Amino acid sequence: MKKFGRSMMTGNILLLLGVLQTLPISQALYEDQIGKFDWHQQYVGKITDMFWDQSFNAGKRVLVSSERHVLASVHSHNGSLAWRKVLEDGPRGRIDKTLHSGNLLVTLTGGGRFVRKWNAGSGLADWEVSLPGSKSGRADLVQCGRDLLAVMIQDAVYGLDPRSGRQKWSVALPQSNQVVYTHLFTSGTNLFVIGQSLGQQVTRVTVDMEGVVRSTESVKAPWLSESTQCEVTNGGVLICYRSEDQSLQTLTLTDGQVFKSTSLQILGLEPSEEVSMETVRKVEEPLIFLRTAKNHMALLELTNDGVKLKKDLPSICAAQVVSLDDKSMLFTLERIPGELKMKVYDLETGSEMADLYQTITYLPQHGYPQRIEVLMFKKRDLRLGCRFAILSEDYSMQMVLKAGKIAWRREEALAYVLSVEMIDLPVSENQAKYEDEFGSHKDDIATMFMKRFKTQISQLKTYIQQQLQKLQGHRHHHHDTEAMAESGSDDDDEDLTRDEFNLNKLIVLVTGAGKVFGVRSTNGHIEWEHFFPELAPFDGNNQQKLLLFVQRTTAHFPNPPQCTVVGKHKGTGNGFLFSFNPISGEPVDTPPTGQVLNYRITQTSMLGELDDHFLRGILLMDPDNQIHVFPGKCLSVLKKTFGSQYMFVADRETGFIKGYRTVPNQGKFLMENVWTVNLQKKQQTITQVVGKRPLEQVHSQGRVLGDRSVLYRYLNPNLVVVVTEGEFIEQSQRGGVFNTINLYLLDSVTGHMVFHCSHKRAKGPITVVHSENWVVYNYFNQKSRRLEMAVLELYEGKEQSNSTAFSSFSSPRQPLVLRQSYIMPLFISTMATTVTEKGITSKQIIFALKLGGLLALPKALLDPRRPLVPTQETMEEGTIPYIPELPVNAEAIINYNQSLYNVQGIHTSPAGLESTSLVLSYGLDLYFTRVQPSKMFDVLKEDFDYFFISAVLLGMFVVTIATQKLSARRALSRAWK
Amino acid sequence: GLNPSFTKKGMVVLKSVKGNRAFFSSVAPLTSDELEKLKMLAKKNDIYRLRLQTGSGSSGEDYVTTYTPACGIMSSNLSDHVWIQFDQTGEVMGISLETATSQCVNGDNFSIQDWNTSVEVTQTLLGPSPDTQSYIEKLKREEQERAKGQTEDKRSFLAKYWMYIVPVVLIMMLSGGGDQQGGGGGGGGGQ
Repeated sequence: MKKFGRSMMTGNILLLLGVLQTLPISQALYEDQIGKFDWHQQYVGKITDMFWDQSFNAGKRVLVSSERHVLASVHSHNGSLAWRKVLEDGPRGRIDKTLHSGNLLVTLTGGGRFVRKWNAGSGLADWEVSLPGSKSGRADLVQCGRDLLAVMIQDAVYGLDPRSGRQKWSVALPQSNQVVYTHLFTSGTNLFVIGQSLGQQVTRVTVDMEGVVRSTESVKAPWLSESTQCEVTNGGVLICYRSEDQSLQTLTLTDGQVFKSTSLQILGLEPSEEVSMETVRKVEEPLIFLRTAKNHMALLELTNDGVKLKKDLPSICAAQVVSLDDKSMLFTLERIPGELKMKVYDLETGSEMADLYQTITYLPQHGYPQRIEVLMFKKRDLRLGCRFAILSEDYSMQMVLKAGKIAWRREEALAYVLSVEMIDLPVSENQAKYEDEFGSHKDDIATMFMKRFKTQISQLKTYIQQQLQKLQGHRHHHHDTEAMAESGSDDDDEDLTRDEFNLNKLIVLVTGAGKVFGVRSTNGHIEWEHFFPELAPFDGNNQQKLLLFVQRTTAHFPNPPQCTVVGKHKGTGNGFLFSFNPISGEPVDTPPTGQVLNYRITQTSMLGELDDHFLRGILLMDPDNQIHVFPGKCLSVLKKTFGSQYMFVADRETGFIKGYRTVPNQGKFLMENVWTVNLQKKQQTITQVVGKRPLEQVHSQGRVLGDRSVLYRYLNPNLVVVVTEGEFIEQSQRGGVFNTINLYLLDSVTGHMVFHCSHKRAKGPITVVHSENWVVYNYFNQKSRRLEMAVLELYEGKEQSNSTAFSSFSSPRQPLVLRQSYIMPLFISTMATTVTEKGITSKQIIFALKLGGLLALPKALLDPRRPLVPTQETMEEGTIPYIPELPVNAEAIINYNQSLYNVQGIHTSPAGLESTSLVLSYGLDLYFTRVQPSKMFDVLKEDFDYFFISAVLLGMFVVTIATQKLSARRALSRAWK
Repeated sequence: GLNPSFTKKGMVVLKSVKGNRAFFSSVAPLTSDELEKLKMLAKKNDIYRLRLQTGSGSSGEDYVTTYTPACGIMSSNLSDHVWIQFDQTGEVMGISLETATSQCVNGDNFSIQDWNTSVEVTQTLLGPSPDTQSYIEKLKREEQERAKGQTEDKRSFLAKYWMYIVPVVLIMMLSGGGDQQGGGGGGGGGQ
């Protein structure tokens, strides 16, 4: 906080004034600063359904729904969002089905809980109907003619009026506790509901348009299993694929009595592990696509006698059947290096339509295309034209408007960010040369002198050039930037060099889609990208993790910076590594497709020391407790420092936390278990383990109290916070089961439990912020039904044990733990703390509010030394009097009106300026901005009055000289007297 | 080494988890054999391990373990301090060991054989919760004080601020009087 309480204030009013002075952290922006330091990108997530808008915007927009509970409309000319609706979090918001035809856009969400009709043009909801929902989570929705929408949930079918949402009828489904109803289908004047009983039968319930059950029949299907996939095609045929014997089972819904089996081999298709079916909706014929591999599909026709192969599509990765004027056409996409080949066939004759053939330039980092959505239209000269959207393996959406060219793409993988690092940009060429001097050791004095001379000359040259440019005109430059902004994102070839204050960085984003991005922090444009179809995150307890290590920063010129992504191989579960230069994106040490290890990774860590080339090695522990070093050249560092390499593994399954030390064994290194802590799995589960940011800068070792004594901080870099959540049964008369959370502060080297506390009747999800000597966490208080924020601060006491280095073996075992708790008036999804270059600036805690804001509160509000009754001494110390509720004021919302949804995490990073911390919030949206927790104390304000200051200075100077002259003359004349 | 061997050191007798102290009864002093082993460990800069049996001891899950550099044991003359952490239901969660120093000294002629072990126990505390009660009390108290202040001050405006009003009136009167006098004098001059 600012200098607060230094002045000798007394009395309540003055004190209150003082508090008010400290609190408003006026983070607010001026209106013309919007978008100057910040950018916001909105995503929808992996798209599951896609339709060309058929209402008045026909062909101008694409309606999409995604697995991240988003319904949106995308402009087809530039890919921007016309509107976006983010539905509820959790299972309540999952989109079960999206239906679009003509003007009608209806979604079924939350396992049949909500039916909503949307206005496709504006994105406003026309009506919403709430239904009981389905226990099995399966629900379906179909449109029957103009006047009826039928919704199926587990135990009933409802008929709704599409105009008002009014419920016309409802009918209970028979045996709904034994049969899992999965599909709803309409054919002619009947609705068919398909239910499955595993290992027994398929139930078919026929309901007419008035909501009367006509018949209930069951067809024997003893082969039904968990892995069986079933679809209903147009024309009313149920088709199931059995992976056990690779056969297709078909049943005609209207009159079929038995399933007909056709094996893939008879059809002449090669069976594989990953067979899936894709329905064909746009034509009346009973057709279905069968996909046997990422690039092999087949179009099947279903007849009364079973399945017929209509067309085998080898090396085709995406296909669609579209009809225009009663003519059905098959669109196919084939990936060849650097391009996509699109061929179109007439479905009746099977001949290729040559005038629609085209090749499209396609970047390999999108993987295989998975789906296309084609819009056919007639041009003015009555020739056929088409535009289509492509969904690819890397979750991207691309649009082809004119033949052969991708008009735009949306990188939806960016809605799945798991790890973030901000990397300093390299210094300019000149400065690089300067540093080159220190990089090489071999030069003699003469060459070194020459080098120095040359660099300084060139520095002078660029300086003069810059000044000349400045003089030549600001306007010209201004014009340039405007032009650049207009021309769009693709052609900013401004090279990546560090700015004066090192504010601009390159942000490395690792996503759950297996894609790694390098993004400019200035504007959010993608600099480079890599896609690894086989890279999967580690997951446990519903938390996905992909690790990103910075092995070498940009500071060690001429050695290039290096980062490594550590994940899991999708197929085998073994370790997967990819190492790259974060600035250029080029792979280093690993092949461009990533390196698959031959062991699983149980724990990772980084070496404590750098090698000769300033590279920090990564330690990987395999299930046999053996240690591997990546890259191999860092093994020599481990040989030297293995005595101080410790690791620990928290096992969720057993509740044990085990600490390991490194021991050499027959030329290898093994991890040896040295400490064990038992967190009683019977009662609770470990949900979080939070360490400190490695290499964190802490400026102050202690805290000055009101009486001028120092309270020394307990700064243990090995401290980790372990959070467990559990349930306990109340012993009192009322009884009942309550949730409880426990916090353990463990020293990860010795296994000593520094502090442990528990919260009864408290529930997660818990976010822990662990920094310096404090821990801040939030939990839901079930008793008071509110969110609370607790803070723990650790102090060694009034004496410091060891002022130079910290050792876990000789540190005080029981530091002073100050703690306090507050009420958080708003719900939050996550939080983080700011970091600055040297840690001098006071800290802020940034909360991602569920309402969409990013709230930045000073850490001083979460200070356990806040006194209930302020005294002279506490005012001297600068603590704010205790108020149980944390204040939320609109100026502390750093993203002003740019609401952010589903924020998964906030990453903060220091900038070159001590006052500034860079913030990236990720989740469904990406939002980047800067914060100055202690305001800009190290930079002059933009509106600083240079003229006035220099005029005053000059004036003073003149006055000084004049008075000097005068006084000299006077002294002289006095001497003459 | 990779296959550590343990010998029985003693038993911890705990009367109540609530108190911080526990009693440690040593079974036997170090035999000379064990002392040699300890010296070897210290020489190799290896670790001295300690484990606490919580169950029957039949599987690894029944132990919690800890360690400290063997040097520390020697240099602090076999006096160590053991911490045992309990959860709220009284189950042992962890153990840790502290010695006065962890520096290495030359322990060749080290001969103390009696342990001097103290045990301390911690139990999971209740986490902090918002202190609304005392805050509300504080507010009430302040309100009362204010109310009290107001009752005391139920005097009339004049009674309250006479000390400000009187001087102002006086000054006004004085200056007004001066004017009148001046006016009178002027009038006199005219006559």
